[in-house]
Amino acid sequence: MNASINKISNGLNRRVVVTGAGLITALGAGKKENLHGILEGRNAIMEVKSFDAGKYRGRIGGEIKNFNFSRKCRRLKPSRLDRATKLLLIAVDEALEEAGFRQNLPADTPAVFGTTLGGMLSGEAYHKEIILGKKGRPSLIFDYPAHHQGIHIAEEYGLNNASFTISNACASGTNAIGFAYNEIRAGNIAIALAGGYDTMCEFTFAGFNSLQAITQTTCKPFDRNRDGLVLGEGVGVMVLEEMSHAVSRNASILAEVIGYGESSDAFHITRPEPAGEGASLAISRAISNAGISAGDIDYINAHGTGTPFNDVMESKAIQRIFGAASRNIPVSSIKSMIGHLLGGSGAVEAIITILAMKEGVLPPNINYQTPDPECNLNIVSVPGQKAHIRRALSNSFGFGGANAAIIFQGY
Amino acid sequence: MAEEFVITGIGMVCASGTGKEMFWDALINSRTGLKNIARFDTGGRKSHLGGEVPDFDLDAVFPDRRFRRAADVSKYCLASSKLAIDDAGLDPYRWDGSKVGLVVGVTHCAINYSREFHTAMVREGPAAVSPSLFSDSVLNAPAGNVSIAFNIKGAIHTIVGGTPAGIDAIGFATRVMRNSNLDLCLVGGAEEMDSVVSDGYARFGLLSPNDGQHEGIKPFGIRRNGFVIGEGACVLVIERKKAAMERKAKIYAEIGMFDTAACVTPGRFRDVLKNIGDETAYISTGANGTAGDDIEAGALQVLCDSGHGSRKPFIGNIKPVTGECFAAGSMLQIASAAMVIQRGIIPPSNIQAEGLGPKFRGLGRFNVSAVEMKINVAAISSIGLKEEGALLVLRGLH
Repeated sequence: MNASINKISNGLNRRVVVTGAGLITALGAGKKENLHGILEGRNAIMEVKSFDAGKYRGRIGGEIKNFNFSRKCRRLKPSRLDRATKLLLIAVDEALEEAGFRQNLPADTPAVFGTTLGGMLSGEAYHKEIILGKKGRPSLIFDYPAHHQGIHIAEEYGLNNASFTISNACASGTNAIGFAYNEIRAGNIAIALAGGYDTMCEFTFAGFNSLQAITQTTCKPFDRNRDGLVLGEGVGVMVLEEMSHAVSRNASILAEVIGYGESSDAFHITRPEPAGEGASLAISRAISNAGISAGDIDYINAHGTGTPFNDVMESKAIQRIFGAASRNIPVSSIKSMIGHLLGGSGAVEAIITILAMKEGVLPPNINYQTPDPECNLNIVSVPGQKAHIRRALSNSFGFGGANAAIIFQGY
Repeated sequence: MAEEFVITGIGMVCASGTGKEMFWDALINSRTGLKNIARFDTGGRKSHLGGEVPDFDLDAVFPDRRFRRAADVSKYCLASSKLAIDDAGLDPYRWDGSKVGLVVGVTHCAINYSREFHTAMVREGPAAVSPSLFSDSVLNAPAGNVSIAFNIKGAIHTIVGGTPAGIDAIGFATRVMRNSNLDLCLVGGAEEMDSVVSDGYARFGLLSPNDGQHEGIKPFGIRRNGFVIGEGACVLVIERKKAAMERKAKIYAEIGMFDTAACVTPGRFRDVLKNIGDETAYISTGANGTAGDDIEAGALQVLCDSGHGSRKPFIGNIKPVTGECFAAGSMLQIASAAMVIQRGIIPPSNIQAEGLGPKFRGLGRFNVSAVEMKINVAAISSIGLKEEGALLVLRGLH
């Protein structure tokens, strides 16, 4: 961010809107395809094919199928790019196209991305070559470090502002959007590109399997018989913009971001704090930041990983904030359909939440059959339920204790 | 008017040893911590030198068995955090954790744990992998561990970047604080040496000696031939100026302007550097003997052109002492600049020994020995290997 924006120009809090969004997940490329899948409650989880998953306990995942990168790059060499950057480019294109910035995105637009793995697919290929006694191709390192994807995006779109890469595990995507929102709200910038991404790679698959966190059946967040998460891959990217800036150029506005909150558990490197104190602090901060009350929230897009620990913790956090109303507010986790996208999850879920608000339909929490008394929430189990969602909350909680919550309002 | 933040605590672990006094002593005496690498076998490699952390003992600084299996990068970060908190005169067991934030900049992080995990996975299969290696290999493990150790519940962030990541972490942290009600924030940079990282940079011809000549890190040097890899961590405590003054905290320096760019061009930092005005500045450069030295010199030229005679800036560099510590390195640079301002002593530039490249001679003063002089403004710059860069200005309170 350039020097001039280090100054907050005045004390007024500006309003922040979403003027573009791009998505690619196991449900497909683009918002249309994803919304269609979400509305019908389509399960995009199947046995992982990009490596031999047969040797693992849990074998399923949400892979993006038949992804062929045919995009013409202006400044980047596709052969040197990791799958993460390629997916990111597709989603950024969609977001910029919608926002009307495909050709004329101001060069001082900051790009803030969240990721857990960066270019780990290249990294694991490089490691593997070395482990097997080869030299390791330097070309594999080109896009391995987790900050290189952001730099490559800046390079391709001619951006020369801050390209912060945030790696707060599964909260990263929400943190990135929240940070950009705060910067616009504070008057430091007018437009920002923000989102999150991660790819399916064997390293992570083996890691989560070693933690016995991956289900051998289906991902069923908040269900009494839930037995683990499913990994997925994908990208979500938004164009965030100061409202008067967007209005003055007649941009189409998808939704308004009205609140963001974050916190840390300070509890355990992989387990969430069981009482949900940290998570509820992030939610209450988002509500307070939005200047609304808990009763103003019409829908909660849950982090809902489908692990025994997370879902009880999140239920407790929701109950702490919403009290008796927590049994009525519709709650769902779309990880049941596309898997857990790690650094991509918060951004993808935020965009799905916005699309659902616009469509007036609640995203379903598929595979939910048996209520769990420890997760006493109103889980949206049936696809296609109509609802008027004025304001929605999207939660993200990560390894290492990072918690983030963001609130959107229909425009 | 932007709210002001100050540095009130410093802690570090690097090739000079553990703690700020060992670091400062090494800087003042130009004592290098670069030695033949012991951590991995350098036989068959061209590069043998490294800035390894010597005699590190987390228990001596922060005895806590919960972290005994953590990667060294986390342990360095834990020790540095404890030292910084103590230095700031704070007590993590008494503070309101919900008002404390943490931002850690990393570059490669615990790549040794990733490598070990991956080696077991490839050679022996899924049953042989260790879950604890996996959970501590993630980029945000140092931040996670520090938050657990010191009851930090307000906000937690890991910023990934190249060598400028420490500066970026400071810029990010001040923004997080402005947009929240946090009282203070620990801001760190952490890095751990590993053979995979070293080999990777060697393959790209970035590690000294990439010309087969004398091995060593020679920032802005006429015979510069790559960098020498280092490791460590550095953590600062930053607070709101008003609150720090109210509690009569020792203040090293005030955090001034910050800029970061995906691609640094000459003139990119013009606005920030102009802000220094005509004061004599100390500049902690990030030059490490690679192509980035030229980019950095181009970016700093604005400042150097404006300073003449006694106002010519002092050019400093810590890398011949610590090696290139990436995210931890730029945070060590910030710490060194804050200590220069607080102590009124300018360490030797550490640059001249190997012969300054002719095009760099006009940058400023390259002092051979320490100079006693009250400096009120310092700039810290770092250019990454992708030509990304960041710049930060610090000011004294007098």
